[in-house]
Amino acid sequence: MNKRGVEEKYLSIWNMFAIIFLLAVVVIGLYLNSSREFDVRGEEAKAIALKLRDCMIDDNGYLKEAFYADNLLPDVYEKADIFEECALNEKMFEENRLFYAKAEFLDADGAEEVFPGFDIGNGELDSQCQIKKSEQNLAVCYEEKIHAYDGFNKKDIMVLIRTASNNMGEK
Amino acid sequence: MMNKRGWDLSYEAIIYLVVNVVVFSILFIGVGRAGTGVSVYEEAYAKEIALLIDSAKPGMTIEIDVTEILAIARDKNTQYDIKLNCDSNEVIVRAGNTGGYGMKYFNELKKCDYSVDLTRRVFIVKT
Repeated sequence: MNKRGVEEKYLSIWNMFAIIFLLAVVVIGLYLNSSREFDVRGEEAKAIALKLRDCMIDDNGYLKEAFYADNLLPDVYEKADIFEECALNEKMFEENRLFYAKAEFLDADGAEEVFPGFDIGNGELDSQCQIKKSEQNLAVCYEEKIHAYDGFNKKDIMVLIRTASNNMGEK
Repeated sequence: MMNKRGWDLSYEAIIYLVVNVVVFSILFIGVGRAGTGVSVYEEAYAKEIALLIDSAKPGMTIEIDVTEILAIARDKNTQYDIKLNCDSNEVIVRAGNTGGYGMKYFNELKKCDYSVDLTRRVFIVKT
């Protein structure tokens, strides 16, 4: 007697389910990936830092007078002066809250603050920078330490600039 | 009689193969198109222009080659749109029938001076 074994069912519901599942995974993956394709937040954070650096320190490495003269570094900061001095759009930082920047003026070893720094923008982004990166919706940060010369106090200082961007753009 | 073992392709197997070929063809075409879609170019150009504006210093003139965006708009028979919204500090790029892509920039521009040179196919921004 011919013994028929189990026939392979090519058009079984499980095979169809597997194909549909595969399609769904690819479509979802494409959709999720498409929004991350051009993530420029890291470059933006770096651009803010470079802009602040060029704004605060001249070509000879001297901290510009505006940053330690009374009109820009009084006991209480006038943030608007930072935006105007460094040609940054205040609305993007304070209202849209897409960016953050902080500058600290430390001694040459980077241990102690020599005079008060400033911060502008969305402080929450700075907190996000401290969190270990496993979530792509968190801000991307950049930090730079620059040695400069404080001509007012006649000593070397370190300027610590920390910036963040969470600007994703929109369709 | 000897058992004759041949390659017995049932109708089910043929249909299954055809379904697989069709499905995977659609998959590959879809993936390929996703990587070359209009929205991808819109996003890329918007972010590129915004980054260049942010990196620019006062007095600079930025020129970006927009040949591809113009070609897409021409192929789709739509009006291209590459502009700055200086009130909201945003670069807007549109080449298809959808709303396009907007990307904000943080640089404070002294003037809202931009144009598209169709002869050289460049987008020009003067900071």
